[in-house]
Parts: sequence; structure tokens; C-alpha cells
Amino acid sequence: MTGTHQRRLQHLLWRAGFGPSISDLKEYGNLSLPAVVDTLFRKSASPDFITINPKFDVEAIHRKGLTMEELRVIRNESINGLKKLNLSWLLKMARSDKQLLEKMTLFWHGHFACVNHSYKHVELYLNTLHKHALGNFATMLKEVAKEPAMLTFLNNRQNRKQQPNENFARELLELFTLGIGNYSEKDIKEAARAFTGWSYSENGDFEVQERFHDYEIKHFMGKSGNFGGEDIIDIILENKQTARFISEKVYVFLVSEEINERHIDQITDAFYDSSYEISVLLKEIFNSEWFYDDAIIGNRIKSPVELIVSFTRKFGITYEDPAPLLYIQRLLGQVLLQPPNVAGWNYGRNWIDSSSLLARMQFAKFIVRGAVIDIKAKSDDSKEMEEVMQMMEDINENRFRKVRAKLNIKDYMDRYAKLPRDKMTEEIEAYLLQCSLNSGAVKVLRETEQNAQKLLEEYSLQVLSLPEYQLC
Amino acid sequence: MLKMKKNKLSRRDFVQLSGLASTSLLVPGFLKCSENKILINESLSHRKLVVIQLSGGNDGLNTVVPYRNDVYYSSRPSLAISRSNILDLDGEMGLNGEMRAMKKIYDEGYMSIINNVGYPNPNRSHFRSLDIWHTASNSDEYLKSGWLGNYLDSTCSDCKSPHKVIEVDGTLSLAVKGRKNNGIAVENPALLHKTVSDPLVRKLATNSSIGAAERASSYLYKTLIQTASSADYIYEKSKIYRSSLAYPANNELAKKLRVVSELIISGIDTSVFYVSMSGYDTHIKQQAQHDKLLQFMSDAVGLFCLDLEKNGKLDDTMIVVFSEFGRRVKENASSGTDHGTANNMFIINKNLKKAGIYNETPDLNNLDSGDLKFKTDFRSVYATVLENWLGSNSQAILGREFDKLKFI
Repeated sequence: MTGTHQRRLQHLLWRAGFGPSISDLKEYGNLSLPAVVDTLFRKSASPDFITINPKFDVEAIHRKGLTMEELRVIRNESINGLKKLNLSWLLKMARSDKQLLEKMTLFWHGHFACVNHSYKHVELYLNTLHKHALGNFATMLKEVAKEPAMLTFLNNRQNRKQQPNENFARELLELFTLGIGNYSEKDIKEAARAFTGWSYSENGDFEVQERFHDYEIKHFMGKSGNFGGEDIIDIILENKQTARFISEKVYVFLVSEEINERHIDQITDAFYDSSYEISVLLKEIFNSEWFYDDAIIGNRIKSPVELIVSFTRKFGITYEDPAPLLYIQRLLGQVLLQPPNVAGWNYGRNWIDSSSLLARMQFAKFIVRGAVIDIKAKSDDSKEMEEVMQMMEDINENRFRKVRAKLNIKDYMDRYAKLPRDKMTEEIEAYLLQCSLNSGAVKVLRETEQNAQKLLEEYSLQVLSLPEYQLC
Repeated sequence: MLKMKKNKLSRRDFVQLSGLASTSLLVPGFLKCSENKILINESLSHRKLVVIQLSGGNDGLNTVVPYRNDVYYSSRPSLAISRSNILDLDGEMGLNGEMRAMKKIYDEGYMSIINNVGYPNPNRSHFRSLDIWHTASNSDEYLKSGWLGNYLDSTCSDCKSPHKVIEVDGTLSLAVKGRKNNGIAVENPALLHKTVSDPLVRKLATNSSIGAAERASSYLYKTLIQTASSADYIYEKSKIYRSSLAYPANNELAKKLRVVSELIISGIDTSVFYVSMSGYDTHIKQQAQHDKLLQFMSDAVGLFCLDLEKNGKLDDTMIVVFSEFGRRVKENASSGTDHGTANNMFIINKNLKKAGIYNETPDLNNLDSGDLKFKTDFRSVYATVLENWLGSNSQAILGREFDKLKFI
């Protein structure tokens, strides 16, 4: 494998998943990039769902005459379910062979951002995203719109003929499909009417409550008819702007914060012409020469979740207790299942400020050395957060600020430990970093190379602590 | 687009080339802070703004109490504060009895209370409402930068000094993140100094250059170098003056405000300080908690003002106190209050144009399904402070024009 090929291969694995592991390099090292792309899709062909608590009684909370104590028990069970769901998914992302599927599930979670207190509803929502993450966008959009978590979060449940609630309709147009400036306030009002009566039964099944649905004629984006919610979605999808909006967002997530109109035109056409097949859109990206351009490689800031997941994957980490990973997510500004608002996370430079950068540079040390995390996350003091992340009240307790992790780095050692010193350092850099080193980093690494007692360990840890490691 | 040819250079060759190329270009643009000067009135640059965030949604009605109002008492059978525990302000309104220190400030004529502050279509989620307050957005608008971050951008578009805006905390709020520059989070100047004195950070900050702006790595190094230099500067300043006042150690806000007062008195070149105090989400058994919170808040603000006054800095300082929303007028079944809407804000300054109760008091007979109706947009308060106190261009910073108030 030449250096160029390794860098491009790693680039693909960073963007289409959570970065290369040593076994990935072995497996893919001799394949052409298009062959790797095909393999990634093949491995991600079928979803695997998470079920934390199959016995959880989603209807229990609706039972009449519950005492405060009973209510508290049910709520606690839900909170625990959410915490476990967060951590299970986080670790699944790291360990799964379905890297592309997991990566895109993370993307759609930010796109269809949704916060909910019912663990079961969140689990259903997450599994729906996972099921369609590489499937058809039109199908996914309709399914997500019917998820209890979404119906609650954007108030479609309160959307009634007698008193329409526009929240879902507005976000559907602004954030999920067309983007701001491509519809009118009147369109929002008319769309909201079409979604009136959308709700779910106590066991979580979608239903349209007829007595609340508006059966009159609606006038939406130049068309008139007795539209229901799905008709509105179909009209939105006919508009190529939807394909463009989604393509752009995927591009920012997978390729670059800097939009290149020519690239966007190309992938939008492919996506729209395929009637919104997500795999077509992604293959158009991964198989384009520009995707491997030097200006693109190593120029993306890993999100906090990507940082945690890729690190766990790369070094085969098992956690004695994964709970501190909740704290780290919080500290670095990305907690799974808790996007900041319906617009999702801002990927890119927004992740970095003085404190998050210093914390990220210490991240490897926190994990590898079990150092106590001595940075205090904000106490948000908000009930939503408190309910979901109750443990955060105890953030001063060391058990939540100290990671106890076991690394499995046999393959890493096998690959690098026996190399001569200068070759070893060069190969480690080539594996761990996607961008060129700043002059300060070169100086630091040369010193480590000269002075280290245990070169492999010390050099690796130094590379993992560089600002450059924050990029992929 | 770059061609793949570059890959023929080894990584190290490439580094050395790019390193050489950028160091010579680095210094002038980076150290200077000359752009956008028109937006800022330099003669006001000694002025300080201190923003205090009460996180969780402070119960404004039990803070500034309409103690002559029957509706207040009938809405809050267990939570209403009895007249004997009120510190009267104007015969109609009174401060919660625990707020003696702030009452003193009020009596000196240094405080203005603005009632019914909020925004249209209020959001009752803590996160969302804080976002709205932080970014100065409409309630259906999602902005990525904060109002004080935008202020920082406007003082200097690619400046060397994130310490122009300091948040005394472990991490940074959206309020102080700009489009181009971020403020700096400092909970404890000595601790931050220790972190940046880590040999790795120190060596990287000293020996690195900032490469081409479009590279993400340049952004990371810019942040690192700025953080190290600001952390050093803040630490040096923090050693100059140590307050002799007894800020209580169990009072989080007091501890943070002590950091602020020491820095101000030491002559730090910082315009904005941001601090928050949490605990205000009082859904259950509110009274004892809330009284304690207000006492801590009031004591902390009182000490802070005293410290500044003794050192001749109170004239240069304005304090603004806000919370993401108020609470419902009616108490709930758990002797607490739930998330509400409009709320009051405190403005503290020695030279207020209009001290006292600034505007009409909350109308408890005219509610919006149980919540107070807002009368003053919070962005009018921001605009007034930005324009009339900090001497900046509020329209450029907030993205639109808001009516200015007349408290300053």
C-alpha cells in the first residue's frame, strides 16, 4: 500500500465511518477505492436494532390513578433506558462492522433532531432512522414524521382542525426538506392543516384522529386538493430544492464545510434522479475524484461523538463502566439523543473554543491513563437535562469523571512495535493523522522521538494529543 | 483545486515548506486588531459589562414582588411572600426579604428594574429559551452565534484577544461565541494558566504558525495560541489585586464575581464578563430554595459592587441580570412554580438615567393562559446596552434594529 493510497483509504473510512482500525487497513489495503466503497455498502446492507428494555411498558405512564411514587418509578425507568440507549448506541457505532450505516444514522439523528423523555419512543425513533439511513429519503421522511417522539416533540399531537399547531409544518419545510426562503408563511399554514389529527395510540402506533383532521381543500405550493400529510410531503419531494437541501447538508457532514456549487449540482442531480435513494447520493460522493482532493482530506473537525467513537474503535477499548462517556459527551458539547434543538448540531468549527480544544487535547490521556477529568461541564440546571442525565448532579464525583478503560492494542503493537525508530514514528503518524503537521507539532514530536523511553506508547499518546488529531 | 502531486513530498517536507511560508506572513495580520473600528467608540473602551445569568428560570414574581396585588396572593396560597417579609421599593413593589444587599443598591439609586421583559411566541424549554436569549434570535429562528460573541467580532474581526470577552466558567456559553471569534472560559485564572503551561500546549503555542485560513488546522492553532496568550495575560492580571472582602466560599456566584472584580480592579483589558448561577428551576418546594438563591445572588452582587466602589471602578461597570424565563403566576400542586414567560431584569450602574422601577409592573389580571404578557423585548435591553454603554453598533451586532430604552 503506498502512502497516497493509505491516506485516501483512511479518508474514506473516516468520512464513511468512524475511522480506520488496523484490521480495516489489512482488509482493505489491497482493494481499489471503488471496491472498498462497495464493501462498505455490502456490510451495511441490513440494520441491527437496539432494544434496551423489551419489558418496558410504554402504556404504564397513562394508567389512571398512579401515585407519585409509582410515577417516579416509571420515570426513572425511562431515564435509565435513555442513558443506556445513549451508551449502547455509542459503543455500537465503535464496534459495528456496519460503519457506514452507523455514520449515516448519526447524520440523520442530527437532521431529524428530536428530544423526548420517553425512552421507548426515542428507541423507536432511533431504530427508524437506522432502518432507513441508507434507504430512501422519501420513505424515511414519512416514517419519521409518524414517530411518536417526533409527533410529540414538534407538537403535531396538538395540531387540530379547530386550532392548528404549525410547529411541525414549519420545521418540515425549514429544516427537514426545502430550507428557509423556499416557501411562504401561507404554505406553512396550509401544510399544518394537512397534518391535523396526526397522533399515536397509547402503545405508540401512528393514527390519524379523524375528528381532529381538516378534510377541507388546502392550497399548498401552487396545488390545491384535500391533502393529507403524506400528500404534502410528496409535493415537497417533487421540488428539486429538497434534493439540493439534503445534498448540501450531507456534503457538509461528509465532505467539507466549504460548499462547492459544482459538486452540489452533481450530487443533487444523482439524488433527485434516483427518486431520493440515499445510497446513490453517497456513492456519487465517495466515487468522485474531488472527494479525495488534498483540500478535502484532513480538513474536517471530528465531532465529539466521532472523537469518542473512533478512539474506542481504533484501540479496541472496553469500558469497565461507560457512564463517564456521558460526561465527556456533555463536556465536549454533543450528547446523543439530546441535540440542542430541532436544528440539530452545528458541525465543524463550532465544536472548537478555548476550553473544548484544551479538553480534547487531554482526551487520550483521560482514556488511556485514567486521568481524572478536571474540567467542569456546565450545570445546565434544566429539567429536561436533569431528567435525562440525572447523574450529572454528581459530576463532582470522581466515578463520573474518571474513565476506567481497557485497551486492546495487540494488532497495533504487532504492526508498529518492531519497526526501526524512525520508521515507527512515520508509520504511526501516517495511521493516526490525516493532515500535515504544524511546525510546533513537528518540534514536539522530534523531541519525543529523541527522549522517549517507551517510544511506541509515548509517541502515540503525543500524536493523539495534538490539535492535528482533532481533524480527519 | 490542489493536484495530487503534492503527495510526492513527504509529510515532513510539506510541513517545513508550509511552516516557512506562513511564519513570515503571520505576525502583522494576527497581532493587529484594526478592522471594523468604525463600529466601536474607542473613548468608551474602559467600560465593563457584567452579565449575570440566573439559570433555570427565576421566579420574578417572588423576586420583585407585587405585594399590594390580591391576585398575587390568591394565585400563590403557599408561596406568596407576606408583606412583613418584603423590602418595599415604591409602595407597590418590593424585593424579596432576603435581598437586603440589593435593596441597598436600589436605595442608592444605582438600580433599574425592567418589568415584563420577554419575546413574542415564548418558548418554555430551558434549552431553547436560553438559546433565544443567547443568540438574540426570534423564537422560530436558529442562529449559530451569540450576541456577545457577535460583539467580540465587531470589536475586531480577527483579533488576538479572546479575553475581550470572558466567561467565568469551565466551558463557554453560546452567548459569547461569535461567528469568527469566541470569548474565553476562565473559571480560575491560576488553573487555566496551569493547563496552558502543560509542556505540550506551551511548546505548540510557542513554536507553531497559523497556516492558510481555509484549513481547519489553522483554526485550531489560532484558538490554541490565543488561548495560551490570553490565559497568561489573565493570570498576570489576576495576581495584581487580591480582594480583602470576604466573598463567602459556599456562594458560587460570589466566587465567580470575585474573579471578575479582581480582574477589573487589576485593570484588565476586558469589556464583557459573563457569569451564571444555577438552581432556579424551582418546581417543587420552592420557598426555602428560592429564598436562599436570592440571598446568595443579592449578597454576591452587593459585595461585588462594594469592592468595585472601594476601588473606584463602579462608575465604569454595568451589571445586567436576566433569566431565560419567569414562572407561571399560579403556583403548582407541589408548592413550586412551573415554566413561564416574561420576567424582570436588573440593571445596575451608578449613572442611570432612570433608576428605580423602570416601567409598568406586571399586569396579573391580563394573562396569556396563565402567563405574564411580555411588554419589552429583551433585545431592546441588549441594544441599549450595546449602543449606549459599550458604544457599539447594535444593529450590526443583533442583525436588526430594536428600540432603545432610556435607562442609560
